[in-house]
Amino acid sequence: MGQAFSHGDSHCERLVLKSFLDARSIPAGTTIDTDLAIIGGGPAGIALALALANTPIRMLMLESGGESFDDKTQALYAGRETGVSYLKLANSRLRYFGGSSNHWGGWCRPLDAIDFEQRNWLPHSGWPFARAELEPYFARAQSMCEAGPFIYDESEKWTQALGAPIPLGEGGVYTTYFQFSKQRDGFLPTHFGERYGDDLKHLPNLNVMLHANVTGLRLASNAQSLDHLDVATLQGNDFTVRPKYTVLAVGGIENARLLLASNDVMHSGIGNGNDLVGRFFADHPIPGGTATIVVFNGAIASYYQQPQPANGAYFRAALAPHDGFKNGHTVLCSLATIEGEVQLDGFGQAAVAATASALGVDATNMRAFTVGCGMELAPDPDRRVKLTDDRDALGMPRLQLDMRISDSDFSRYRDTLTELGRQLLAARSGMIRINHKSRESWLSVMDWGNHHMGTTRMHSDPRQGVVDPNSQVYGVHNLYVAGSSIFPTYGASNPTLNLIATTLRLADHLKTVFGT
Amino acid sequence: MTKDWTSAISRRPVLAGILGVLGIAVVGGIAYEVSPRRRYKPSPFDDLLSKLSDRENASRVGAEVVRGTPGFNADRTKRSLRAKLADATLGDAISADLARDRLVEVRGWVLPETFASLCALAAKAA
Repeated sequence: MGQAFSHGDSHCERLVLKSFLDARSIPAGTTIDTDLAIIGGGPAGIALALALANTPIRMLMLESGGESFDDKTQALYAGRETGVSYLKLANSRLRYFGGSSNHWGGWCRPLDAIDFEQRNWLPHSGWPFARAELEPYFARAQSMCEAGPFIYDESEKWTQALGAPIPLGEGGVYTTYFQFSKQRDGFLPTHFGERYGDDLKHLPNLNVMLHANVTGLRLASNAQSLDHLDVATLQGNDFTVRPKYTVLAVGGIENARLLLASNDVMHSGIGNGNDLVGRFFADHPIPGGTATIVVFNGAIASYYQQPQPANGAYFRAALAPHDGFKNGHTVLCSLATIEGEVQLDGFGQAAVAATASALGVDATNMRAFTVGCGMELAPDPDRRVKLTDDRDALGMPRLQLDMRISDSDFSRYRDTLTELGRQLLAARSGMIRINHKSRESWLSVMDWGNHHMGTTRMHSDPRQGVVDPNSQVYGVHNLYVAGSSIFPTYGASNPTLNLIATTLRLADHLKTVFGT
Repeated sequence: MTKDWTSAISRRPVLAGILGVLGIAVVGGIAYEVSPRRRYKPSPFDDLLSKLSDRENASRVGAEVVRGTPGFNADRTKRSLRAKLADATLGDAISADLARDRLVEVRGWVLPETFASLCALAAKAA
């Protein structure tokens, strides 16, 4: 019989807590009751706990890893990759407190309005709400990311002292701006575990348990509610957590894995009655050297190449398509960044000299730069993770990722680059060379953003989504999902800021659910 | 004693004359190299090619245009360009191309269609 385990029932007791709980010290067979289980101690889980701080909701956060990297824990992520060459599943995320924020680059930018829209030309696109729904949460998410004031729309005003944006003729591409997470006035992005660990230790209504691997989400026999969680450690002491509500926040790949592997009651897995869990996986391709951009007068503001400080924020510019251009030309949000300076070959020099001459422009001081890319993929149900027969050290089925990228994903980005080239010529400010045409050429320079999205997609129609607009798993009233796995369409913005905004929205919903 | 006739000629005027001739030759040579009229052999497109101020580099670009356009027809291109440029400067024609998305890629470089066609004729004329 399970042992009752009391926690969080005394403010005084919690206020003197100086360390996290260690699941390895929990006796096997223990049962822990709590109001809300947060599975995962990454950015989503930590943001949720902070948002529910000082409420009457007793929370237990279950984190697989410890406070630092551990090989054996990380190996639980290993799986197979098929299809288009992709990152190793064991390497593209981090399994310890703070999650993948321990290796993120700090790029922040809210999704564009069009990212939320259902577009007739883009199958499976659209969120169940507009971007306006997230507006109240972006500033708080920005604060948690320590990315300075939320002033994306004022970027040009704050960066003008550093130089003017690249002149572009009227058209579909414009200069947009990222802001950057910075840790304690440095350039390092915020590592959520390090940054918020002490804050979490002192929350009176939260316990954080490390080395606690949730290996099963166990439904009640009617399959309509989650009854308990199976928890295991690599040392072999298994125990049970019995929460009233649970939020699954273990990342864009593991969220799907845990739902699929919890198939004792629903044989296809939890929330998978329509065979959607694990499908629509996405990442942001970041192919290198997609183009070469030439600036005729050689003048380029520093914020195009490196984050630059202004008004308490760090800004870096990119060249992105307008929402109107996206709809008019059926392109996605894929955007271009400007990277290092390059020397043109003889033909390139001739092309620049002849073109500038024809435009009546002096290109004596011209400079050329390689163009980077943050690409958006179209939703694809066949790009997916699924269970295999292989098992990890805890007996959990390992995953196989079937990675795909369509030719149209490349051609759409080419259309945006062509438009950028047209606008540079129209402004008599520069020109562009697009470096890749064939699929093989694109794939030869492919890299990925480690931005795992889409596997538990949100939709207002249960036949098309795993979670409903409140992030609740369809059919299971007390199970929710947080993180970028709920993104049904992805945009080209880095997911951390946006997944925190959606998590803060979930926190507000949970407050309502708990009546706080 | 007969005085050698050469000694009767002052050396300075002779040297000045030789240097003068050499100078004319050098200046003339440079002028020949620089002058487009002298440099390029006559072609059926000279009226169009006169709109290019950097014909050398344009020709290099144009060679790639021709190479990338199977069945490139210089006469048809010439007629099309004459129609476009009859009452317009090259700058105007380029602006019109850009306004109407008339672009081509030449070894990846995004170029206005009229300019690329003109480059192709420059290559044909070379």
